[in-house]
Amino acid sequence: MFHFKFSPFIYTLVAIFSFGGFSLASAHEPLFGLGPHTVGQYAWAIESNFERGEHGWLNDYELTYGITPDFAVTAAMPYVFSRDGRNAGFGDVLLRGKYRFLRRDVLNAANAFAFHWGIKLPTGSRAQLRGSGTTDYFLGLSFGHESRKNYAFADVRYQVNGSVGNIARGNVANFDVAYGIRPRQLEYRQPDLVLLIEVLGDVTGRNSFSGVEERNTGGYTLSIAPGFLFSYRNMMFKGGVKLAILDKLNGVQPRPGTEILFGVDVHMPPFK
Amino acid sequence: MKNMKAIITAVLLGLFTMTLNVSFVSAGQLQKVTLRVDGLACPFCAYGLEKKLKRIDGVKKLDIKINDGLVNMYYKEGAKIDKALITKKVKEAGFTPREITTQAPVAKAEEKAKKVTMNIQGMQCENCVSRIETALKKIECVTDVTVNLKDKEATVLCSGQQKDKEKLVAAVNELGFKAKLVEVSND
Repeated sequence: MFHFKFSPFIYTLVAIFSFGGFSLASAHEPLFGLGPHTVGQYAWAIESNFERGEHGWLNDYELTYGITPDFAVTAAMPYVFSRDGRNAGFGDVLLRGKYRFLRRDVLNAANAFAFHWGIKLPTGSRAQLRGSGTTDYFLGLSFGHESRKNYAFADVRYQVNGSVGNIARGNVANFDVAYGIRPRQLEYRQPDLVLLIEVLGDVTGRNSFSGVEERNTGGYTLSIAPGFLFSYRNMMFKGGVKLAILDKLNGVQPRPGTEILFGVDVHMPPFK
Repeated sequence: MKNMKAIITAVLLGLFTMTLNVSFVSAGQLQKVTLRVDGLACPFCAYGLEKKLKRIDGVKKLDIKINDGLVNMYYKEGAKIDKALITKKVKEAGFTPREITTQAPVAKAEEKAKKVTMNIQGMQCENCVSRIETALKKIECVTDVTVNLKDKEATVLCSGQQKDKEKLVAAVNELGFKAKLVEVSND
């Protein structure tokens, strides 16, 4: 028999918005992590992803614009589906930026590093479990190697979570390494398939209530995520599954579930 | 007097015909510019590059060969080729321009690609398909290749002359297969 000091509702609420909430997938990049790809100056892209996590299903919409060849900004907003259908609606808006500060292009390949940053605004209803009610931030660093046959990515990020009422959510550190392969290197106006495998780690700090750390929060998880990126000219379909293979969660907590992502990314013609 | 009129008429006709010929030759030629672009690794990313370069005044056609890291730009006859502008557009797209080569004007006949279907005997597996695709893509006129193992057929888009079609057959035969032209049609 387990004794909960606080209502399970509180834990559920905190759990929902402690993980994820930051949509990251874009173009030829890891599905569940960060990558240094930018869209080009004056170019823009729209993206729509369906994601299933611990919060249930949501549909994330993203709009990205290239301010310079190496600097892009993104606005994202999820539409959160509720189990009972009554509380469905838009969630917290995420604004993020990416600056590719180092790039080395060679014949048929590119290597790049980028800084990432983001802010999640409490625009979704907390009462209806569509938002955390807090303003959260993240910083990240990513590396990407892209060639005609092979892809390799690595990224780290740190998310600082805000507080809601007396509940302070633990901060989260993530890492992701990914390898991708393009089995057939066809030409420009032909379909293109890349298969990806990612290894992801999350380390979450404990939550606290009125300054007292909660026993049954925080911990770490190691996951593996196979996925694919299928594109034709300016349209990309992608999908992946994130499976927890190892976890050490503090106290008594539900085991991490399986996350699913599938969506479409469209690069639009640049404005000039 | 009659003879004079005839001579003048003949001279005028001759001049007119020459003018026509010159005009015909000029209108039928495109200027080809070949770019080597570094960082071009994925078709999805190349879309932005295509759109940037196509907006340049005078560009009539664009052909991106990702596997070779090359972009062939075809300007209409008489158009100004601004290498600095090309460089700027490639950089805006997020890539690195390495080399820009202007070539002699190409005949307009080359502009329109023809669909060439070849029957190929001797293919056994995907490795054969891959070898044939690689060999065909190296031929200058080729813009697209599809090889079908089951149907023993290759379909090639080639914007060249008749001798280029013969090069396609020769390229496959050199690999040890037996290729035969089946059909040449408009794309």
